Amino acid sequence: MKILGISAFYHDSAAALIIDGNIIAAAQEERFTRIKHDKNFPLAAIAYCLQAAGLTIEDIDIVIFYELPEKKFQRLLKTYLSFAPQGYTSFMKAMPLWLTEKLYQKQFIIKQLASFGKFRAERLQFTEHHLSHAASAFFPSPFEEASILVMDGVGEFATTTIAEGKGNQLTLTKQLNFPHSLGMLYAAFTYYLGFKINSGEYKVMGLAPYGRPIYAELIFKYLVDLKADGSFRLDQQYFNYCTGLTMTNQHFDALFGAPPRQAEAVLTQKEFDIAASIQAVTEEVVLTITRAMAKTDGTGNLCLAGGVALNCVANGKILKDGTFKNIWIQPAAGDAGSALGAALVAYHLQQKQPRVISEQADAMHGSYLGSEFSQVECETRLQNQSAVFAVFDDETLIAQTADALATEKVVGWFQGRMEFGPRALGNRSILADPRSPEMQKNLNLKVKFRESFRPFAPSILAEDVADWFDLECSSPYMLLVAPIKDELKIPMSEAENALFGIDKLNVPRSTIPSVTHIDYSARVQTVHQQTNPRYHQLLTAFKQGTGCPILVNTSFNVRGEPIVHTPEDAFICFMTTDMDVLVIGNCLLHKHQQTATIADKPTFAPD
Amino acid sequence: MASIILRILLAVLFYLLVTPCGMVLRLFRIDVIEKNCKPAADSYWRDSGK
Repeated sequence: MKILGISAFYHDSAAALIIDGNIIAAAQEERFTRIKHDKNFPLAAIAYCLQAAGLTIEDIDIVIFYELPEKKFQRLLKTYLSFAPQGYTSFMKAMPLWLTEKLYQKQFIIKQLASFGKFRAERLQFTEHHLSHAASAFFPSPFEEASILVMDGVGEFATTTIAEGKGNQLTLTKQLNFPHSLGMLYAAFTYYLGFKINSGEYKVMGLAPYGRPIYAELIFKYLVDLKADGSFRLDQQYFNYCTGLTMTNQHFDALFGAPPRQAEAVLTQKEFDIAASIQAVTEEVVLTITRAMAKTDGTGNLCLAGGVALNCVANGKILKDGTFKNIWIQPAAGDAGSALGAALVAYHLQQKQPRVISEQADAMHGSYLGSEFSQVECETRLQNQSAVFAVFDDETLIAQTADALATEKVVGWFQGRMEFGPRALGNRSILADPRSPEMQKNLNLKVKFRESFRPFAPSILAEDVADWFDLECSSPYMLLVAPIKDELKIPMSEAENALFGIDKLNVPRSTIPSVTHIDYSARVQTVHQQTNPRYHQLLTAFKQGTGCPILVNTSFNVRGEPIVHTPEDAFICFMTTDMDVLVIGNCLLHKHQQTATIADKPTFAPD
Repeated sequence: MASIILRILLAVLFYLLVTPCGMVLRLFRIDVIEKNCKPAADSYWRDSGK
């Protein structure tokens, strides 16, 4: 049975294809269109999924959309009803769009699918947003049984959902509804701190360790009413997202004593403290929920999905809390992953097909589910770009790359299938030596062109993780933050401790400073021989040369750009940044040998 | 032209239907989206069962 799952129209549109329950292909539309978080109908991602499996649209038994548009419209109407006469401007903006377009999503989707060939409309199904997320969290997990927690901004009504999974069964049990949403709360603070919502949340999380959570009490007193069982509501008099065009309002400003920060304005200790506070509040809410869940859970297993599950610091806290023995997080925890979840809903829940638990670590194939390019294709594409490159056998290529890394070269690493989800996991990555004290700053400012406060993540050989980090399980998707081992820490002097904000970051605080955040934590990716043998081999070679089984791994893109998709995207990114070496398949390129000029330097919207 | 008519209709709809209905609901203390915090309540969870 061949099923195509689709998510679209809000942010991060994506498509996923499963055949007889096996995940064959999945990709986000942004990678193809080069529009970050592209929300348009994922024509290119669908075309890719069909092509990867050698199918046409006529071969697909079920196409399933990840949410129910009519139910979403109901929520909108109820919200206006609840707030009127407030909300006129938002009503006038939203309604024409709904009445002319969004209410006819079914017809629109059928029409779009027909552009691939003959599509029979009765093959189109719909499912619920949080059911899609929950399915993406449970069905690919390695667990026979588990408790599931979904938290995001909002789907139709639900913002927080608890579910139980067993075999091929999945039951939603409890939920909290809009407007009470941890995703919305975090987004409101992201907005207030001058970042873009739906993408700037990472920046807030990255800023948090620079501050002290001195506003957490204030947030719990005025904004969040958290009950002992983890359920909560947000006091709507401080927020504007229900009926306005902004996230927060003047009451919120009054509470924090200033209007929202302007984008790109200087960051001060106050912003750091607010970031630390909202992060602390988020962690407390999440932990209160998971502790309450653990009381009735008989499985010891927890699955997470929804945008809030991308908060890897909070995930690390759940793990450390120990209420659940095992945690599995869907790598595409945001809306892209619900395309896959929807397909799994169709297969296991609607069609009642059995679930076979993967013999590997999970059923995601390391999340390497996107496009790949053969060696011949890579060479042709590079030649067309007038790139100067040499081709090596695997062994020489790995040795040369490891040597370049050990001499502090910044390496673009483009291999195999593209990752599904927001993280680069060693197939579309920029790699560097984590031991270099200057690397963090250089990578941020000269390669990624982004703010200097943002931390980088380490990739480590799965076998070695316990020697370097306080982490006893694997973290293949970079979704768990763990502290670095005590013996590797370099204690700070009093003078260093007194340093302000970002100056603090420039003091090396471990033997792998470029991946050690100022609170001695790191967002770890464990690299496994089974899912990514080539990257595993590179790390092994780097370890042999240096004694260090770790590399800095950051996504292969510049600020505001989606992660690179094709060899051409990679070459252009390489040429327009301070990257030293580029490895594409078995082709190796040195920057100083290049003669090509990039005529049209791509520009990307600010992130 | 069509969009101007649509906008006028929507404005009428908002002030002559949505607003009064909302006010009546509030008069009878019906919280359609469970908007308000209840400090005395023990829990805000609701069953997901259909």
